[in-house]
Amino acid sequence: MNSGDTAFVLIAAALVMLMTPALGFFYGGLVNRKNVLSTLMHSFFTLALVSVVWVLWGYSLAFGEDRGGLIGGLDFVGLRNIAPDDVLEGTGIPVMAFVGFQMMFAVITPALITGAFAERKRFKAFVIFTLAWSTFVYAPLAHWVWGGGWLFEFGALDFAGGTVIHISSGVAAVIAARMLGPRVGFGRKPADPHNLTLTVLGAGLLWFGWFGFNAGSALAANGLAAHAFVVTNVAAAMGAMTWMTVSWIRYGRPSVLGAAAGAVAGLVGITPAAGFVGASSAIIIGFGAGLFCFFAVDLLKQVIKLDDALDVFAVHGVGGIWGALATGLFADAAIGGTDGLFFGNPEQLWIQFVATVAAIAFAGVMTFVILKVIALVTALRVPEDEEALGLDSSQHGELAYNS
Amino acid sequence: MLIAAFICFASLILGWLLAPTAAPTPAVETSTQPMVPEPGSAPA
Repeated sequence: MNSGDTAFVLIAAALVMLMTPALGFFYGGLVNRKNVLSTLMHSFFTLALVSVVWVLWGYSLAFGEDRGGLIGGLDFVGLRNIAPDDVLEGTGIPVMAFVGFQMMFAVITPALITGAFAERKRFKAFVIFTLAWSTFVYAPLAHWVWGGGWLFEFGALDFAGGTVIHISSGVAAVIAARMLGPRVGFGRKPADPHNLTLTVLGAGLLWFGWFGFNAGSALAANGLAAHAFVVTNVAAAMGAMTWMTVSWIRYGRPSVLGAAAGAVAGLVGITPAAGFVGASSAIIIGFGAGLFCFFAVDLLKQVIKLDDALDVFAVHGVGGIWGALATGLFADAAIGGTDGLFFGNPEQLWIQFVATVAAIAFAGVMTFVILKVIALVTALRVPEDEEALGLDSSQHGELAYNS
Repeated sequence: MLIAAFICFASLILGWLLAPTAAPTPAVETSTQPMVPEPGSAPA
């Protein structure tokens, strides 16, 4: 066991943990002031709920012994059969450090989806949805890609979760937004953010935490981790500047929200690629993420008229798809051992495409089924009068601001 | 890749140079504007 690697991964796990409350701030600033607590609660409660799910059965389903390439076995239910000194195969870290690191990934993924149904979802429906989604969507997908499942065997590259985390949550967001329907007044009343300072604070903390996400995915304090750290930062920087610039040209002003959202888009784009692409490629990936995600927001809101309230699909879905495919384009064997199309290996792009389509199909269908089943038990959204009152008051009996 | 990266960055710089200058927003009341004294209060 390597104490340096172990310390690094534990700190990386703590950084990733911080991202979920940070996401709450990012989303919380974007909603109406009467819904900020409920939006924060979506992230905060997910942190608590999925942490327990992960220990009880989530880790085992994702990383237990492979069953047909689709799911892990029940060997590690309740984390039994894992001793404190057990070392993760191929690394110098304890299995428990890996469990904790992966736990934080499992936590943030369903939290990302909450931006799609903000300001209208019933809390009870949200709780059941998060429980079911992390079990039936996240755990199998994590197994497919990282746990020795069929996409892993197929050769799909996903360094830190572009497919498992961002594509799956982005697609789930589209399905959830469509099934819940738009917020009252969507398209007629402006839904301006109530406090962009919270959003920028959240974006900054997400950027900070993302170093744990991507550099930590090297699972060792080594050169690959340092490489992932640097390309993560430069992609975020390019995403921020690109989104801001496009919005400046289009709307006449360099938007602060645009810079914050663009940074997140750049981070999403580089996530699957961080351990496989060079620094120049990371600049291109960040640029593409800022560009594509900006136009995706416009397309979804103004053309398709989908009330994905906080643009989860536009940022995480589109950014995740771009990142997954870009990995197939820009991967360089000198970095992560595998070449992409631009380095003479066109097959990798095909593999990335198959992984992307599989994640979209699986997450989409499963999210639809889960929401349909939940709708049999409880209403998915609050009544119109409660929506008008605000979820902070109607769902939680508390207010963020007294005046 | 290096050339493409430079082109991406250069296009941003070009965008900043060419970006329109929007008309200023209507004046909003700020703390630097003179406050109207309330009736009966002492003059400032």
